[in-house]
Amino acid sequence: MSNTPKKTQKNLWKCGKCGGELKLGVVRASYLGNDFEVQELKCLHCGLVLITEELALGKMFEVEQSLEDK
Amino acid sequence: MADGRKAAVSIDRYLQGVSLTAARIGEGTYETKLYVNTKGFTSLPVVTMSHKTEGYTPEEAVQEAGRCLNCQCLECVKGCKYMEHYGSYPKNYLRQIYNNDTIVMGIRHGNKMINSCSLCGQCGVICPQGLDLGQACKATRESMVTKGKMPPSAHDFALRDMAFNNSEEFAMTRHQPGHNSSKYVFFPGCQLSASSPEHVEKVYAYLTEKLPGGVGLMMRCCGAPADWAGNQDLFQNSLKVLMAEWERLGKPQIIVACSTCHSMFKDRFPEVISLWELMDHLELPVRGDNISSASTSGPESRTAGKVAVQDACTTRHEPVIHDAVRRILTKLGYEVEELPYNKALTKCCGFGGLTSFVNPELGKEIVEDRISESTTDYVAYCAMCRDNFAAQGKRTFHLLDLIFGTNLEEAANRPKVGISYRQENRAKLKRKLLHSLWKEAPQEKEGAYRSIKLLLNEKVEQIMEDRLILREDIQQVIELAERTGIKFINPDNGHSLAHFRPVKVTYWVEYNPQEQGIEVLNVYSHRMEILEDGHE
Ligand SMILES: [Zn+2]
Repeated sequence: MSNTPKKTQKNLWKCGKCGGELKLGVVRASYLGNDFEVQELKCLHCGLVLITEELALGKMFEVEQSLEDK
Repeated sequence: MADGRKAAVSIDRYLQGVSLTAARIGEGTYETKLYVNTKGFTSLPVVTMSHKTEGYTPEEAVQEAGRCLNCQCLECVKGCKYMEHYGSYPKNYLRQIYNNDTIVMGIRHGNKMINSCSLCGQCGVICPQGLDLGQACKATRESMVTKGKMPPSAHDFALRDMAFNNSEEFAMTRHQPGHNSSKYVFFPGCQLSASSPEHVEKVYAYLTEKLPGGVGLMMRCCGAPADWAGNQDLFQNSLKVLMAEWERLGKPQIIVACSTCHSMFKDRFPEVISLWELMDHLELPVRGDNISSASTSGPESRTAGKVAVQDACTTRHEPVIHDAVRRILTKLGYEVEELPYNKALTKCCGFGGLTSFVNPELGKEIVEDRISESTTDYVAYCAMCRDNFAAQGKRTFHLLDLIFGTNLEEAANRPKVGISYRQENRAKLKRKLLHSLWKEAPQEKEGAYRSIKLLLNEKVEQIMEDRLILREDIQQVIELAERTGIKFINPDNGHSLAHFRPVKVTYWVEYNPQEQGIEVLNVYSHRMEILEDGHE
């Protein structure tokens, strides 16, 4: 996979569901039976979580790969 | 010289104060299993001592030592980009593979290496001892799958593609129209159907015209991706269905267009024959009339030009196919150029063993290496070889381009068909054939998302290709987001960002609805699952 994420951008997004603002908050994530808590953008109002390209192809990808090799 | 080494070891041991005699095996001259290619070396005479009684002068000693080739047995590494890529040689690789497979706790650092081999068997042919690293890699992949230790992302896309090819979307088995038995069955394979479906139609028309007794058609996957991924359960199950379909047709002789299918079938079905061997025996089809460089003064004097043959790695042990391909080319008036590694020594294009899915960088290196071996136009008889070379700008024909002979300039430069279009081409081929030959109405496909029209520019299409994201994945994300309103909005430009997780991968799409369709701006994915807290 070519994982060259775009440069970090400041958050441009608003929740399309309820119009709420996004703020960093605790998000639960899981892969191959491993659960963790990460800081991610989520809607203050309804809790909808946004995973940025930078995170998906960067840190998240690294963690996925290392869990797959465990 | 051997005595010199022996003395040097003694001196070294003496100075270190260790035993002079313990564990001194493998010294002096002995028969080795290793092989050194001495081509390119001229033999040099022993340096004579200018003063017999005093021994070599320092200069003479250096000169004499310079005769040592410092030999290494690396013939297989010289022929294989994969072995070169990991910077070592089979003995070390075997140790790494063994350690990786037997480790109980900790990180399995060798996973990617084990999954990057194309399993093409070239090293086994080059090695005088027949050491085939691919066999070790394949056995270990099977062991990883059995233990549940195969990284899920490694072969996921290829296996989903295989599932598509064995689904109603592509899979079909029919007797020839107007027949209720089949003496033969044509098995075009997934990749030719994806890369040039029009060739499948032409070949099927040709075969039904030339061969009496009914030529059935079977479209599905031969199971190779599962076999290469080390998933023997999946492979055997796929084979079982295929075998049942073949029995239903009355066990006809299978004609395969793809060398990989051939390699999967040849020990499992009787009398499997490659299309090339068959076409070599039959009269070749009449060719299209706009053959660019051919003169038209009769077949004897016709020189259509020169082509360099890329033998498919899955034909390594099939000299009958190698010869048939060359005879066909000669009959067509082509001068055949042999690449340095050809026939039994041929190189894989990076598709074999699913290399290019697991390790795209290596896949690219493999293609770059192979296409730089000659400036002559290549001809391949495997659709993946053709597409992989074409993807990196090498003018490459498929043998069927030359056999049918239409629009050769276009054929040589035809770009690789991307992953989304490969699936679409297969599905379209099935619908078209069912309609035109069997007069069957195509089944309506389910899913409202299919009607969403996407506007994709070249940049986005390349991102989709690199990240293995299909048009269908994107359509599903947008359909869900627009139906439920679950998405993010950029107030500055009105773009939407939404996600969908069909099974094990979450896809994210940034898009912007336009009048003509939905403009896709970016796509990415992750495998980790987000456990949403819901609506507090
Ligand atoms: Zn919200």
